[in-house]
Amino acid sequence: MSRSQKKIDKINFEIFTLTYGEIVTTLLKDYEDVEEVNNQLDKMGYSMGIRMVDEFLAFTGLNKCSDFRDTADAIANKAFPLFLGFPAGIQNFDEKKKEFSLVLDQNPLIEFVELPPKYKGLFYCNILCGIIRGSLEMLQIDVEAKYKKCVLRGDERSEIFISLKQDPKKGDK
Amino acid sequence: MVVYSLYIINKSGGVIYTYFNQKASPQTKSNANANLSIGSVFHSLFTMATTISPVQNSSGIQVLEANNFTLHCLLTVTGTKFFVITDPSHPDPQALLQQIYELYCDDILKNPFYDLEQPIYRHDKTFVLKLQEMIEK
Repeated sequence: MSRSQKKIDKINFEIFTLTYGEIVTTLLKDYEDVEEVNNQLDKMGYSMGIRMVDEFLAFTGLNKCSDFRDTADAIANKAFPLFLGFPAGIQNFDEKKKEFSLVLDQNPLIEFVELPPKYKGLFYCNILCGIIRGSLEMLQIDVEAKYKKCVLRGDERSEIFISLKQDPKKGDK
Repeated sequence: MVVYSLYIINKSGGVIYTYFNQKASPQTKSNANANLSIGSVFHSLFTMATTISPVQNSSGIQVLEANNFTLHCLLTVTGTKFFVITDPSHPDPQALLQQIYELYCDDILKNPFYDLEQPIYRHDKTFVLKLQEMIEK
C-alpha cells in the first residue's frame, strides 16, 4: 500500500501546541534574550527541516519542481497541509527577484498564545522559518526565510517572507 | 520475487547501509570493506553516467540488467541513493525501493539520535526487522 493512501496519524491538538509553547518559554527562560530565542528557534527548525523534507517527498511522491513558483506552491499547498493541517497563502510573488510571502491565516500553534509586552520582539513561530530554510537547502535551494508580520505582535496577519539567495544550477525540487 | 541485496548510499557517496538476503544466496558472505567499495564505485558510475549523457539533466543509472540479476536504483531528490539487486523475475523493484525509502524516512530520519549521512547500525532494530520482512517475504 502506498503511503499516500495511508491515513496520517493524528495527535491531540492541545498536547502539540502546549509542547511547542513550553519549548518557547523554556528557551526564553534560558536565554533571557528575545533575539537569541528567535535564533535558537530558527536553528531548531533547520535541523527539523533537513529531516522532514524526505518524509514530504516520500509521502507526496513529488518530483523536481520546474521553477520557483512551483516550489512556492508545493510549500504552501502541499507541505503546510501535510505537516500543520492547513494550507498557506502565497502573496507578492515576484518572478524576477524570486521572492514571495507565505500568509498563515489559521496557525494552530498560536491558538492560545498572548504575547506579553516584554517579549514584543519574539517571533513565536520562528521555527517555521528554520524548517522551510532547512528543507529547501536539502534540495539545493538556498533561501532566506524570516517572519515579516505576526498576528501576535498586533499585525493583521502572519507573514513569512522567503527569498531565493542564488539561482540553483540544476532544477528546483 | 527474490531480492538479493540492498545498498543505501548517502549524497556524498558513502555507503550507509547494506543488507544481504542470506536465504536467497547463502554463499555470498557480506564483507564490510568490499561492500563499502562496491557502493562507492556504483556511486561513481552513476555520476559518470550523468556526466557522459548527451542530453542535459540525465537521471543517471536506473536499471542495470544481467542474465541472472537486475539492479534497480532510486535516486531521491535529496541525493540519497537506494539500490536493490534482484532476480530478473522480480515484478516491481521500483515499488520496493519506494517502500524502502518510506521506511527509511519513518524509522531512521525521524529518530532524533540518528546523525544525518552517518551509517545505519544493525542495532536499529525496527528498521532492520521491517526491512527483512519486506525483502524476504
